[in-house]
Parts: sequence; C-alpha cells; structure tokens
Amino acid sequence: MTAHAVEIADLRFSYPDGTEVLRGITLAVPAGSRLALVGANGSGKTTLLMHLAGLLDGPGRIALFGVERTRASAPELRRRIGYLFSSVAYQFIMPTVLDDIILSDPRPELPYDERRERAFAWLRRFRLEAYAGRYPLDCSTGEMKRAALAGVLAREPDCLLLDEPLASLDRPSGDELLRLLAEVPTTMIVATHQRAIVERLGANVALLDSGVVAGTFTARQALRTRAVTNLLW
Amino acid sequence: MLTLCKIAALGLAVASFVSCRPFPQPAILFPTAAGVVLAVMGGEPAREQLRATLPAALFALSFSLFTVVSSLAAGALNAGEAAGNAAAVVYVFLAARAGMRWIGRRGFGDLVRIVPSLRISLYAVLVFNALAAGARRNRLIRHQLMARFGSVRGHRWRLARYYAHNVILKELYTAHLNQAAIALRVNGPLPAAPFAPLTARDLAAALAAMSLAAAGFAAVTP
Repeated sequence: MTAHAVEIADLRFSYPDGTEVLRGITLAVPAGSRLALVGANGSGKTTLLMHLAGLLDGPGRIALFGVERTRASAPELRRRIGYLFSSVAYQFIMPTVLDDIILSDPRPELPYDERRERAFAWLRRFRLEAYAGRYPLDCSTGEMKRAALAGVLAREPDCLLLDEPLASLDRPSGDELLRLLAEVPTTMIVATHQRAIVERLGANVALLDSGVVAGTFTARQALRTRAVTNLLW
Repeated sequence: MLTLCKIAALGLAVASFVSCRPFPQPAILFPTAAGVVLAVMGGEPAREQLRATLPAALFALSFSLFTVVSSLAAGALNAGEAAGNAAAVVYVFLAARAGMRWIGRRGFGDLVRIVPSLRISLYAVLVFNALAAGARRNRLIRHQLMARFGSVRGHRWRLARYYAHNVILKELYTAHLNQAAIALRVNGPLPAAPFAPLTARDLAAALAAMSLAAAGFAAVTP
C-alpha cells in the first residue's frame, strides 16, 4: 500500500502543433489530501489533469494508487478516477440528470430501482431532486455543475480531478459547491484560479509555471506567497 | 410495447401518405387525419409547428421547383407531381417531428433498452445528444456571429462562411470531449429504466393513426 495516491515523475507533453505544455512535471500527492494546481492560463493544468485521467499519454512516469500507468492499466485506473470537466456540458452522456447519475453507479449489477434510489440520494444531497427528469443541458450553469459533480461522486472514485469547478458560478452556487466538496474525503486535485478553493478546502498548492512545478506549498504558505496569490481571484 | 406502437403508427402514416400519390385524390384524407392524430399527441402548439415547418416548406418548394425545371427541360411539365413531392416532404417533416415529441425521452430510453449491444445503444444516445446539442449550438453560433458582425445586412456571405466552419469546428470539439466522457464514465451497461407505461390514451391514438393509415392504403389499392 502506497502513501501516495498520485506520483508523477518527469512528465512531458507536446501538442501535435509542437507546443510544449509539460516540460518535466514531478509531483507526489498523498492519499486523502487536496491539491490545488495553480498557474497562469496555458501553464499546463488541464493537460496534467488529462494525463492523470488517462486521456493523454505523454512520456514520463505516472503511478496512481501504486499502479504504474500503462496502456493496459489505463482503463482500470480510469474507473478509480472522477473527472469534472471544465466545460461540464460535455460531461453528460444520458438524456436525463437521473439516468446520467445512474450511469456512474459503480454497481451496474444492482436492479434498476435500487440504483435509481442510490442516484436519488445523490440528487437529494445536491438539492437536485426537481431536476431528475430534466435534460442536463436544460439546467442552468450552477445546476449543471452540481449535477455533473453528483455524477462524478456517484462513481465513488478514489481520486477526484476537478478542472475549474467554480468557473461561471455565482457566489452562493460556488459556496454551496465548496461546502459539498469539503465533505468529500477522497484525494482531490483541482485546477483553479480561485482563492476560495485553497482557503475553504485547505488545499496544498502546486504552482505550475511554463510546464514545470515551480513550487509546492501548504495552504497557509500559499496564501502568503505573492507568486501564488497573484494568480488567484 | 407502447414505443414500438408509436413508431409503427408514425411509419405507417408516412408510408400511407406517400402511397397516395399522385395527388390530389380523396384517399389522402386518411393519412392526413393520421398525421393530425400524431400532431395532437405530440402536444406542440399549432403555431410552433407552423413556425418550425417554414424551413422544410422552403426546402420542399426549392425541391419542387427543380422538378418543374427538369420536367420542362424534358418537355413534359408535371406540376401535380412536383406539388405532390413538396407536400410529401412537408408531411414527412411534420409527422416525424410530432412523432418524435410523442415518443419522447422515455420512449427513446425504451429503444436504447431493447438494443442488445452497448456500442449501438451508446451510439444512439450520442446521436440523440448531438441532435439536442446541435439545436443549441446553432442558436449560439448565430448569436456569436450577430454579435461580431453587428447585423445580418451586408454580411450574409460572411455569416454563411463563418457559420459553416464554426459548426464543423465546434462539432469536432464536441466529438473529442464526448469521447473523453465515454472513456471516463461508461464502464458497464447504460441505465435501463422500466418501459414507459401503456396508457389507454396513447394506445387509442396509436391504433387510430394505424387504422387511418391502413384505410389510406386500402383506398389506393386497386
């Protein structure tokens, strides 16, 4: 059993047009901890999350829960990961919010009614019962974020990857989402520009600069470091 | 199953209408009545239906104009056939629209449920999502272009040019993200809700539409 949920060593990646985004990322995230990836636009935060989710495959070492990422292990590792897209509208697969959450149920062998009840429990937790039968894209941005997060958490992932979870949310919706996230005990890696993520989730901070980790900080250190606070709202 | 009855009613109504050509002949009243049943069951206000029909009607008009021009070139003008083709296009559009509304998301779920292959059912779900998202994207792109160009006047060609490439690029972007969502989220069969309940009203409407369509077939059979 490893003490680190995520270990990354010398991860590199260039997009097909030649843009070098990751230039040797090395990072370790202890199991159960929260890490905020902070960096300027284009510093590689989303690209790094996509590597962790097994959607991109640059050279370098990635181990999740002690399992080395290979082509063969990627599908199994993906099952242990919950990924909230920055553009959540693209995250939904099923035509209703309820069915989309049922899709995430890690126990598909259960009868539909039982999975429906389990999904409803998530809807209640996110105060989305009234939206159960609605087409996800008919929801407002805040409702969509909550529905997408409910779908991600219903999967019971061992590691949560959140890409700009508070983007486009108003203050009350953001506060509510943070309250819900604060209750989640799993390992969490969040790409963000929001000071509230660091403050309210007590997240450690990895500062990304031009595709490398320029520094790692505890939440308290981060909020006193100008290089970090300059990038946070 | 109710959804299959609805699909059968829709298919029969369309086939019956098309079989009633050349127009006009009294038998057309039967499939037309079947179409009215579908339109009522679709539950969309008549005004909305008419508004949505406008593009299909314009398409049908240009289609029949081509038919007229080509028949004139061949030396045998057949205006009745051209009008019949136009009517068939509009009818199919209206019936398909009303039928899809009547089948609804629940009925779509039924269809996905009876497909034995995960790949095919997933494909059906993605097609449904693409259609639903496409309508939104169309509005979004139109608004974006209007916001950038100020007005349509004097910019029609630019609008057409940028619209096409925006649609294609955004579709590719969506496809890329859909692929990522499937890779991350689908690890078993798609959720299968219980089949839509069989209501007397739906069943009666399906039977009425099918009977009217059958009457249309019977009326044109020599």
